[in-house]
Amino acid sequence: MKTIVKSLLAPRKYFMQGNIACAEGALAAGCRYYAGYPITPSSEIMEHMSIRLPEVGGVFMQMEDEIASICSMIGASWAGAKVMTATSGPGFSLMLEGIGYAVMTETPCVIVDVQRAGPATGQATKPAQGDVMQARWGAHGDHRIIALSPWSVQEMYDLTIKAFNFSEKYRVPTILLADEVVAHLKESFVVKPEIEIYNRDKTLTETPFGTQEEDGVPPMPCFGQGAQLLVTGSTHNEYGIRKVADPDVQERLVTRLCKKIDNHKKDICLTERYFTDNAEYLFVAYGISARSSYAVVSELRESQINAGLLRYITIWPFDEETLKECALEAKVIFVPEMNQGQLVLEIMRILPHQKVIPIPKTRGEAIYPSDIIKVFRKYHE
Amino acid sequence: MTKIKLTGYGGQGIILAGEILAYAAMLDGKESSAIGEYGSAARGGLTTSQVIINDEFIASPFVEAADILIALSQEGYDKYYSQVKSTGLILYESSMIIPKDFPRQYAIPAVNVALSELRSTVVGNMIMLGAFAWITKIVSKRSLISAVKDNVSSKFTEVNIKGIEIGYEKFQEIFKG
Amino acid sequence: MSEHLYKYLRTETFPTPFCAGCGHGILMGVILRAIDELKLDFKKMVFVSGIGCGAWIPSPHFKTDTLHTLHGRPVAYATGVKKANPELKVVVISGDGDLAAIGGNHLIHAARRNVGLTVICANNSIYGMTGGQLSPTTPKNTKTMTTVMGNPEEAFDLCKLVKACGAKYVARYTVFHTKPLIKAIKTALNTDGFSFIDVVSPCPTQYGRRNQLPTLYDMYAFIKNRLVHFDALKKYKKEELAEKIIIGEYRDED
Repeated sequence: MKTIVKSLLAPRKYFMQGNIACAEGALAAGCRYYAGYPITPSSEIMEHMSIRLPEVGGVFMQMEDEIASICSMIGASWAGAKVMTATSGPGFSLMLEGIGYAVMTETPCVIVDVQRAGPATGQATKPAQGDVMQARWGAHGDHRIIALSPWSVQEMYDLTIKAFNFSEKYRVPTILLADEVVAHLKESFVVKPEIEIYNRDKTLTETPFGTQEEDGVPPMPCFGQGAQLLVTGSTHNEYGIRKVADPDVQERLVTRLCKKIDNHKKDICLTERYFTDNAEYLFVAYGISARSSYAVVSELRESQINAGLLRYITIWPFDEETLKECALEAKVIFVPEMNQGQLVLEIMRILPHQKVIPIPKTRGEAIYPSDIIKVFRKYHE
Repeated sequence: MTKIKLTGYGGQGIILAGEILAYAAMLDGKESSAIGEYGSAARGGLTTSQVIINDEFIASPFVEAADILIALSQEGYDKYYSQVKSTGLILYESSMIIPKDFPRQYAIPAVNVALSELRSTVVGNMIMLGAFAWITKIVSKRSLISAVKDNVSSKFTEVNIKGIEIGYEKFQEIFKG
Repeated sequence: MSEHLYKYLRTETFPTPFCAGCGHGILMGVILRAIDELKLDFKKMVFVSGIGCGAWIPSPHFKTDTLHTLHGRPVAYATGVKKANPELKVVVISGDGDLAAIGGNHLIHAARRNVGLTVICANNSIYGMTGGQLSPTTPKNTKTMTTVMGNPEEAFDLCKLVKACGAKYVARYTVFHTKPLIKAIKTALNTDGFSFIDVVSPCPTQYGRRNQLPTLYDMYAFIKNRLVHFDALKKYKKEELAEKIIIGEYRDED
């Protein structure tokens, strides 16, 4: 249920690190249980939560590993709390089975992945955007999740709140796919007097795992409410009863888990467009790479070059329609990413007849405007 | 938009200085950002802070071509002086750095002044910020002092504020000359 | 099962999936008897289990909130449930492979943290559901699907392990000791802090048939012949205890 609440922080302008803003956004959204395990470059989130959660009557747990973190968080969610954990690449990999469990049991929870340079231990303090496909496909089995990509400290705050809202509304794990730069960036941002939050529907029901509609989200009573909940990660019917050999139940469940996201893309998919109307050169970017792209597009516009930026705030599910619209007049589409080309694969799939140029960077550094300009010049006489 | 790079070695308070500067700009009603980068060692390695101050939303928070370089170590100076715009400005610590040719740069004896006037080995960074504020007028001295009060533990507030004030007053002659 | 326990059960899910001769049905009854005797508010209890035969004891049979989790993780889930709502009585019921192999880390840390959970290990010393593979509590030299020449490794004494990690109450009985087991479960449920009960349960189907113990009676005799009470430990030399099953309450050593 949608509701307007007062911000926890006094409304004003702040100067804050992205990770701290993320933790504050979580608290404002109503997060009252956090479980985590230390890992660079996300640790400031858990450090801040360890201080702030007890102040607002919440629970902070430092668990024995990332697996325990996500599992205890799912348990806490069923006990009625809004829950979050934060990690980085290696920890995110450990959490994937738990994310799949949260998808299957439709457990609201927020996972922050502050991406760092990998694979494996890689460069722990250096930025990357290498987990884009892992966020989408990492958990086994066919499924949908929501992933949001913040590009500023403001969005580390705002999108954390949004992540909670989506998660509670659609009963789906929601990933805040940040990166080391926005996580450690310090900049000014604004806390408004009020924020819109969404609290899950806890109506007592006999069927907390199914709806009449094929894309519905059932209410979610919590433990102790008397709902006699049968929560299981095995295939189950609308009552929660395991049906591990029934093809109809499996099909109905998986279809609904996917359609409850797919059919609500209009609500979930957030994008921003800068000069995309009739853009001849379209940049498609997300997270910190979009900041550099924005600088480039502004510069090109000043030199009368018809460039535009389409920024993905929600990267999963992927908004295909907006891409097609923005790319209508585009001669070249550039996709700068701090990886060897991940989201660009999606764009190439959607625009098979257009010139899509990846701008990959995997040096453990952010993509700077100069990196983008260099590639752009090859395609602009 | 002003793009500033502060550089030195770990322990000189480069990251803090960058944050104080950006915070002060916010108090002045501007948009600001700061990115701190440590070298591999916590103490002694090259440390850099990228600060941007702007009237509106800052697109890229990275400082590639800097308008202003504040350098407290030779290593940092050598690495970044060539990236400063030719119309830009360099403030460098005179006791640590042998400068190269650059149109507009000033030698600031911040470390020596910190030692002689404040008996401190660590507020060279604040003295530099004070000098920076006087010559550039990009941030106000008042906001720098408020930024120190909001971000530095009370034990060290006073000496840091004095550093800013000395830096603001002391080198006016150098800049005029 | 005695009819007065039906109120705790989703009888529509019967019969249980347990094999002939399995001890888990007895354990299910024993747990419910302990709860009934304590007159606990069943609505305020949450039963958390992992993956494996033992995990099927509460889910889907118990008519209250149950959380059937990932393999190995019920203790971590239960920690979150308990911490988020301390008014709930949270009980973990799962198998030895689930709790001690893949979930061993969570078990020892929950004991160390002294989270207010009761963990009941339905210990059949084998991976029953997946076809009879070696578990960390399989005794040495035992033949299993993955140790056809006999288990070369030592088994865990889970009670000793959990006790060493700081658990407040620790006990072991077999499903054949129903009365002391009910008493132990009652004590565990009343313990303020982390409590652990290891319940030895026969598995003629997967354990017995590879070790010349094909019937429940064979398994019963096999278990019975190895019992030693905790209070009588001093009478035995260390090497004599190697193959034994220590039952009773694990108290602090003097």
